[in-house]
Amino acid sequence: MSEPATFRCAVLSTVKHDYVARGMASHPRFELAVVADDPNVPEWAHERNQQFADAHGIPYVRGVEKALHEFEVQVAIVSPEAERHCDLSIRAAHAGKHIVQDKPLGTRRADCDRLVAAVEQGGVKFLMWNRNFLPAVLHARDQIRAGAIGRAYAIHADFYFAKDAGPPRGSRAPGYPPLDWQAHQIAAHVDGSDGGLGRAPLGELAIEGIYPLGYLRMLTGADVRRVFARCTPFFHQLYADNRVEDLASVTLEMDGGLAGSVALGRIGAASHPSGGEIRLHILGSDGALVVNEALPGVGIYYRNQPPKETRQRRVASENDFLLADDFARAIDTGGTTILDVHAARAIFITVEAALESARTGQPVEVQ
Amino acid sequence: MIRLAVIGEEVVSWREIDSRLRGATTEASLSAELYAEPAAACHAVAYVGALRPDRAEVERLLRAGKHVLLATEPSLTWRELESLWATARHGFLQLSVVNPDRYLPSRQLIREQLGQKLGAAGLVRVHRWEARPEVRTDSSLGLPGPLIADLDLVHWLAGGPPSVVYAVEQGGGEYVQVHLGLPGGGMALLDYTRRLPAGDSYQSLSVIAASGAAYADDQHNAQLLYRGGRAQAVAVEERTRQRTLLLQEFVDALTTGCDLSANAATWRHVYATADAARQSLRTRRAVPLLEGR
Repeated sequence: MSEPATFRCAVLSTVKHDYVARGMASHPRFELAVVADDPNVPEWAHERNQQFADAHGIPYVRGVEKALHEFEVQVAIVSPEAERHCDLSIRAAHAGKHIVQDKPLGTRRADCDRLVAAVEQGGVKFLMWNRNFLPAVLHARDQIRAGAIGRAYAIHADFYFAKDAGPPRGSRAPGYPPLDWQAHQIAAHVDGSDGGLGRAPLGELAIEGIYPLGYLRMLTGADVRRVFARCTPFFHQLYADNRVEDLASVTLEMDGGLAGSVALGRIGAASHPSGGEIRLHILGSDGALVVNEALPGVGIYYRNQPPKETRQRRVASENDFLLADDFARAIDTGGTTILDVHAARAIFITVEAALESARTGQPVEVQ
Repeated sequence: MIRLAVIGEEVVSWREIDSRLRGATTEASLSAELYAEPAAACHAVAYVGALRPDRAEVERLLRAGKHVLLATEPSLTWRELESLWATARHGFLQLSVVNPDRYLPSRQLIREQLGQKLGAAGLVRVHRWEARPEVRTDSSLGLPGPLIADLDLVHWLAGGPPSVVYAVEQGGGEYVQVHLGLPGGGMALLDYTRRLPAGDSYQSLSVIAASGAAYADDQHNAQLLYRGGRAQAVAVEERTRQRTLLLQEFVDALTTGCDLSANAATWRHVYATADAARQSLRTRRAVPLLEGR
C-alpha cells in the first residue's frame, strides 16, 4: 500500500496567529517548508515571522512569490494582518497552491469576491480555519444527523470569550488621545490577548463571528437570508475609541424558515473562569439539544494558580488534526472542505449585513 | 396574622411554605371560588404557579374585600389589569401582580450582583423551552405568557424598558424569538418554544455585564440519574424558596400597608414591549419604543 502524498506548506506570514500553521503541522501529511512574507512589511512582522521559522527549523524568505515558486510547496497557510488575508490568498491561488487561511476571510467584500474567483480559476482547495471539529460540535452534528431531535427549526450560538483588551471602557479621563488599534494589537500579542490585527480596527463580530456562524452553517446547512443585529463597544476603551464592537447579538432568518441567533463578545477575563461560555441551543421537531462547547474537560485547581490560567481545561480535542485531515481529503478527492471559500464568503456577507443592521437599527437582507 | 388562601397547582408542598412564612397562615386550594364572599375566612388570596386566573373571578375577590396576589404567568390583558387595579383602588385593597421568575433564588442572586459586582447588564440571553400543552390555550395577549414574563425579567435586570424591539416567530407563535435593544447600547435575546416533547422544560439565563457575567442554566443545575441506558439529567428545584419569598413579600406589604401598585408602571412598560414585539412580527421591522429612550 503506497504512502499518501505529503503536502509541503509555505507559511505566508504568521503575524496574526501561528496556531494555524502549527495546527496543520500536527498532521503527518503536512510539512512546513518555508515561512515567507512581503519584503516591505514592518520590521516587527519580519521579527515575528523569523521567530516562527527559527522555532520550526525552516527558512524565512522575504518574498512571497519566491517561496511559492521555489520551495516546491503545494499549500499556502495564510495568517497576516486581516486586511492582507485576501491579497496573500489570491496570490497563492494564482500560483496554483491550495490555501488554508486564518479568519476573517477579508475586510472588504470586493476582496472576498476576488478571492472566490481566484480559488475557482486556480482550481485549488480553500479551508477557512474554524472550530467545527471540536468534540462537542461533532456530537451535536452526529445527534442531528441521527435524527435525535428531528428537523431543526431554531439554532442559537453563544460565543463569549473571556479576554481583556486594555483598559475598561470609561476608565480613562476625557480628552485623552484615543488608543491606537494596531499598536495595541502588536503589544498584546505577547500574552495572546490580541484581537483583529491590522491597521483598520475590526470588531469582534467581524473577527470571531466565523466560529459561531460556522457552527450554525455546518449543523443546519442553511444560508442566512436576513439579519437584525445590535453591536456596541461595551467593555473595552480600545473598542470605544476605534468605534468597533466588542459585544454583539444577531437574529438570523435562514433558509427553510429556520430561526437562529448569535450572541458574541470579548467579555473580559473576569467574566468566566475558563476562557468563556460557548454553547449551542438547538430546537428540533422531536426534541432539543443544549451543547457546551467546552466539553469534555477537566478541572485543574492548585495553590498559587495564576489568575488568568484556565481552570476547566478542554481535553480530547482533535480539531487541528481533523481540519488538516479534512483539507487533505478535499485535495485527494476533489471534494469540498468543511468551510470552503463559498461558505466563508457567505459568513462574511452575513456579518457585513449584521453590521449594517446595527448601524441602521433595522433588519437587513443578506445579499 | 394574615389569613392567606393560596390557589395553586398540587405539586408544590404548601405545608412546607406555610411553615416558612412569617405573619401569615395559609390554606391551599385549587379554586378561588370559595373565597369570593365577604364572609370567607381569609384576608387575601394568592394565585401562584401555572394558572390562568380568570379576570371576573379576580374582580369578585376584590369586590369581596380580599387583597389579591397574581404570581402566575401573564395571561390577562393590560386593559383587564388596569380595570382590576381600579377596582382594587376603589376598595382600598392591594392587587399585586408579580412575575414569579423574579423570585427564583438564581434570579434574585443575579439581580443582587448586578447592583454590586457585575455592573450594568450588557447582554441578557434567555432561553425558555416548554412541552407542547395537551390542550392548546391561546393567549389573548398575542404572545405566549411565559415570554411576557421573560420580557419582564429583562426589564428588571436591565433596569428599564428597551429602546427597540425585533421579533420573529414560527408555527403560529409556538416559537417566538425577541431581540431587544437596551438603552446605553445593551441588548437582549429571548427565545420561547412550546414545542418540546412531553416532559421537562428548560430554562437558561445568562447576563453579560460590564464587570462580569452570570450564568444560570438548567444544564449546569442538573443531577444525573442512572437507571440503565442513557443517563437522565434531573433538574434541581428552587421553587419552594421562590414561592416562600414571593408570598412573604406580599404578606409583609399587607402587614405594613406598603402600596404595591407601583408595579403597575413596570407592567405597563412590559406590555408596551410585548405590543412592539407583536407589531414587529406583523411588519417584519424593528419597532422603536419611546419609553426606552
